[in-house]
Amino acid sequence: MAIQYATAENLDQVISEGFVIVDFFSTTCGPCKMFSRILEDIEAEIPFLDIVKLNTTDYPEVGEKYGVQAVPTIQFYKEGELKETRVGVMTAAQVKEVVAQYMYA
Amino acid sequence: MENFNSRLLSLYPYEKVDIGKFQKVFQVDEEAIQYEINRLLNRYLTWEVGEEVHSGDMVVCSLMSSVDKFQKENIKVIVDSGMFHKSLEHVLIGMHKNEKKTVVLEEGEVQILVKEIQNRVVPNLTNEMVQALNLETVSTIEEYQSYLISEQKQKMVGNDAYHAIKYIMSEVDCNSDLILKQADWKKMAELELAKYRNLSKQMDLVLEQMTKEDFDGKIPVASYFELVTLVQDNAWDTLIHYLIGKYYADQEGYVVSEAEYEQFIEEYIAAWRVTEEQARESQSYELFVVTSYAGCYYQKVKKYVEERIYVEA
Repeated sequence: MAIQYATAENLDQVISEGFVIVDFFSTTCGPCKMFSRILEDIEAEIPFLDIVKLNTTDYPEVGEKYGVQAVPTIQFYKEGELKETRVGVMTAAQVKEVVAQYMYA
Repeated sequence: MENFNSRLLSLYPYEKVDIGKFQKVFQVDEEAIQYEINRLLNRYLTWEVGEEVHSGDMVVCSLMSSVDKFQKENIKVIVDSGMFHKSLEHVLIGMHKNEKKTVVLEEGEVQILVKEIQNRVVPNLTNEMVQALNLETVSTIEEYQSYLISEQKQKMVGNDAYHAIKYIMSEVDCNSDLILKQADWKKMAELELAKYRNLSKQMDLVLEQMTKEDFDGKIPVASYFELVTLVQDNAWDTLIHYLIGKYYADQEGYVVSEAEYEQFIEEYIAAWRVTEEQARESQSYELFVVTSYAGCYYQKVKKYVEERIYVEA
């Protein structure tokens, strides 16, 4: 599935099924742009991964609801349950390691 | 700044500083260039139902084994990604849909049934793909490769030029004639300390009482007194750089404006998520003026060095 952008209205629904990576970012954040490229690379390699981005500049209340205090914050959901949260840029290898840990558990 | 009594009497020309020892031949990082080309191709890749497994393909398979990890029904793997199991994924290469195979891995014996194959199909790079990037003056593959090399050079030049810039500035600072007043030096240091004082206040700390642990991760000092020493050292250079930068700015008719300061404050608020009051407290207009003029000096030397740092083999 292509990387999609979530909104305050649909984020709960989007993470409710399957394995989803949520990237909380902000418009002016340099490291977020760097991590965006990494997510694009991962998406090209692993097509069955759902990747969702949420702009905390546009939806600051959603960031607060999900405990986002800094960006980028990356959350990994499986069937709607939060499995892991990471703050800061992750390498592609680190992302795949987390995905593998929960997807193949 | 109008109250400064320090003066620049004569400026040593930075062009007279020999940077030969810093110059180098630019080496293209071919791997990085190919990575960017691959990123472009990724936009056009497709996943197509296939009959034979290759590296990078997505495979749905069933596994049977006495080892728990390999007792799986309809597991999706990306071949050679290493996400599930590097050796097992590699064994899939060359297998066909509905093919069964028994392999012995380090952990034990596993029977594999390939149920579905999606081939990762990456097209060749075309001029049309390059044109779709809408880069000015770039419409062919060759022009795109030149563009990538130029971009790479621009990214690397900052690092490669750094030491030459610092060296030139040090030589210019030492060989220029200046009148430096202690009161101005003190003023520079106080501006910087005021910034740190306000920043620490925003973190509910008192700068003068901060401990090593309080400073840890913020400023590389262990006490307030170490900070004062550091600030005083830096303030001397800042005063010199301000005077030289002001000279260059005057030559070019550039004056730091309040509009620029307001723009800076707006960006600071967005970047650091602070209030306007907090931004103005920690980033005073006076400090902004000093930093901006000092920046003129740095940018002048930087431009000069970046145009000369790379030489032909």
